[in-house]
Amino acid sequence: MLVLNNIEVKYQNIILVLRGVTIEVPEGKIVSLLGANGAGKSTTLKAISGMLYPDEGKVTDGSIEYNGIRIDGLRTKAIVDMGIVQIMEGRRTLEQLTVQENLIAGAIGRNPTRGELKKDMDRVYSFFPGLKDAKNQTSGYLSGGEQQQLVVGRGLMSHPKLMLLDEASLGLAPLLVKEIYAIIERLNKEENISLLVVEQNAQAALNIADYGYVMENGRIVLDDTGLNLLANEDIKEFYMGLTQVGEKKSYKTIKHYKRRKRWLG
Amino acid sequence: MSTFIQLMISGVAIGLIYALAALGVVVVYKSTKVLNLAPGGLLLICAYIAWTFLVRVNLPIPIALGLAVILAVIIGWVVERVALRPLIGQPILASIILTNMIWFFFRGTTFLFWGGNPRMFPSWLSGRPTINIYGIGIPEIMIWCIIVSILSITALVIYFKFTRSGLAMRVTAEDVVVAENLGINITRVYSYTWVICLLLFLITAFFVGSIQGISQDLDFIGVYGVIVALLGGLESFPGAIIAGLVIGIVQSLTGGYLAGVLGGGIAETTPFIVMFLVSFFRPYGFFGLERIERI
Repeated sequence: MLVLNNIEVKYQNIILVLRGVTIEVPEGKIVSLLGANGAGKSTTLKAISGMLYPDEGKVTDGSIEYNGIRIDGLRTKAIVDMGIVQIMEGRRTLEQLTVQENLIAGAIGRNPTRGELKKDMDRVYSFFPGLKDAKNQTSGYLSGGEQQQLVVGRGLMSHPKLMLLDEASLGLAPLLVKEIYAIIERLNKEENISLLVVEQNAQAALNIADYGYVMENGRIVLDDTGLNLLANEDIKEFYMGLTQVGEKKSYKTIKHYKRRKRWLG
Repeated sequence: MSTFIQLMISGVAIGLIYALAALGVVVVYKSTKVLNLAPGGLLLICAYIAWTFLVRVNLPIPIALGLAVILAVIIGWVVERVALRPLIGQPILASIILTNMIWFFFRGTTFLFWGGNPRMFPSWLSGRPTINIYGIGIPEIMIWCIIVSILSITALVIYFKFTRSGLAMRVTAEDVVVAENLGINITRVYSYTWVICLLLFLITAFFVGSIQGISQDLDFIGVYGVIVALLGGLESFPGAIIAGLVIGIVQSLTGGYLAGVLGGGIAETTPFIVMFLVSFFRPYGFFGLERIERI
């Protein structure tokens, strides 16, 4: 469905952020993209959704194809119309507007009729019942979890076929993270929305992912099915902080990993 | 007492007119974050265009006003498309300075085409009789001023609150990146803002022109518009309206009571004095936008 073919992204024509990233998101699947801060995860999503230009970034090499059509270089509006929506990092609700207005704003680009709009909103409320009770509240006063629900719901209003989810767990309590991801899994199963999930919370993302990629320094260093990644020793150690209990850590093992990582990266 | 009431009513009328000009500035500032310094020149061109259709070509009133509206829309669209759109993404100061140049450009245009001579609108509005209510004489034009301003403000509020393109504008005003992300056509929003701005200026220009005649002094009303917008907090509709009323009433009262003592120029100076005093205590104007912080 979505294929990133060896893309390279530069900011301001100088800062090379992505150096050859190849990712594939098959139809109806959940793919997760993991990595530490500054690895280039968000940049990858912005490259797909056409949101690089506010930061003066550009896809300088490679191609992004969506259902066989090249979409790198298109305006965000065109990409949203094709059915790709990005849920931005950091819960960017429109805080002066009410919940309902936020949702309508998500549908403006499609210009639906009143009836369609009503139906779409009911669909969002059925996934996020909490929003319905708060629909006339100013969204800036919602709790963090509700705000995250709202931005996902707002993305849903544009009838996406592919949703790019950026750090949905950021700053949320573990229970809320679980709740959000449960709903995201439902979106995938019930509405057949493909998902590309960017996360630092590897556990949360890999639990629902069919396939996962690990990024470092603008490159993909590891890719495997979600289950395999969860079982991977390196992932366990570096992204989940799990080590074999009771064993002493020695510098030797770390060195070993570093060497291997340089090889991969 | 009757002088006081008379002065108050004309102050309210003038204040609402200032508020309309200020709303033009506020609308543009809200969605594009560009402080519009051009109202002076734009008011001039609007007034001269309306005059041309009403007096020079001497069309029937509805047709003439309709044509003036159409031309104002076109000017607004062209200004955004030709002058400001290429500067999107550049430092905002460039756009602000450009609006200043737009002011002088249109001012120059009026000299070029109309010779810069003072003109008068036909007297069917300004020449109407003074109405007597309980012994207080109120010129009818002031009443029309108040009615039309209130109607335009209401229309503006309804547009922003209840229509989809109004919502798109509020989204853009709040967060351009989110607006783009949601698939809102931002360049169209920018065009609409300038068109709305020009329509507001046309109404302002028409009434001011009817009251004091069309001359290069209209420039000054534009400056007042910017001042009123600043006083109101630049992002707030109620702020602009209240600031407009304050400036209008203060100006009218000082003009009525103090002009004899301090000389005729005092009425023109008071807006600046008020602005100066207010900026001591509230540098962000009456109503800066409140940022929501959850704790």
